[in-house]
Amino acid sequence: MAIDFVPGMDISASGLKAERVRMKVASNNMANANSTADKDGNVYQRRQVILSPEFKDHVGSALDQFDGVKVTEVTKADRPPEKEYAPDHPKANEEGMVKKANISPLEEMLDMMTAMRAYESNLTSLKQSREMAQRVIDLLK
Amino acid sequence: MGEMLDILSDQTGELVSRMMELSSQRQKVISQNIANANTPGYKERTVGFEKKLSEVLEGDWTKSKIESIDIVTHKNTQTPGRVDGNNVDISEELNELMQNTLKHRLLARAKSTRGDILKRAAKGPQ
Repeated sequence: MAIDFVPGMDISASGLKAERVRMKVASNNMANANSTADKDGNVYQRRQVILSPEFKDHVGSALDQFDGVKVTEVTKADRPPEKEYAPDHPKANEEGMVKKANISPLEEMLDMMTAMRAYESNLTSLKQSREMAQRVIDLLK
Repeated sequence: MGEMLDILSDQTGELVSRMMELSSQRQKVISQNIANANTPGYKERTVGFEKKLSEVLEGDWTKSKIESIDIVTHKNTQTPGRVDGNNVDISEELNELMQNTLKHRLLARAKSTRGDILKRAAKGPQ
C-alpha cells in the first residue's frame, strides 16, 4: 500500500458539493418563504436535501472504502401550507385566508449556518490534505 | 557499504514510512467524518494503530514486525451525538486534522533529514 498522493481529496470534494447543494436549497426555500399559490393552485413546498454516507466496495484494504457523502435526493416537505389572513389578496379564499409556502425562515437560517460551517471545515480538510501532498513532494528535493 | 545504504530502508526508516502512511489514512478518515457532518445517522470513524505499535515497540522490534501491523478503522457507536443519530463533532475533527497534518510534516522532515545524512556521506570530505 502506497502513501496516497493527496489523501482524501475526493472525500472533501464530495463534502463541499453536498454543502453547496444544501446552501442552494436553503436559499431557494428562503426566497419562496412568502410565495403564494401558482396559477394551478399549488403552493411551494419546502425542499429538503437527503444526504447519505458513501462507501466503496471492498477492494484491497478496508481503509480505502471511504468515499465521502452523496446527495441522494431532494424531497418536498409534506407538512400543510402556512395560512395568512389577507381578505384583499387576489388569491384569498371565501374566509379571507391565503395559502403560503410551508417555510419557517428560522429553520432555513439554521440550515444555512450549519451548511456554511461544514463547508468551511471541508475546505480546511482539503487544504491540509494538499499540504500533506506538498510535504511528500518536498521529500524529493 | 550495505550498512550505509540501510539508512533509507532500515527499521527506523520503515517505522517513519508506516507512520506517514498512517497519517495519510487518518486524513482520509477525518475527511470522511467532516464530509458527513450533516448526514443523519452517520457514526464517526476512527483509526487504530498506535496501541498495537507501542506494544511492538516495547519488545524486540524488527522491520517485518512493523510491516505486519494493520491500520484498522473503528466505528464509534459509544458517543451519543445529536438527535438525528449523527455523532460527528466538527471542532473535534478539525483539531485532529490539524494534529495529523503537523505529525505528517514532522515525519516528512525526519525522512528528508535521513536522506540528507546519506547525501552528505556520499559527497565525502570537502
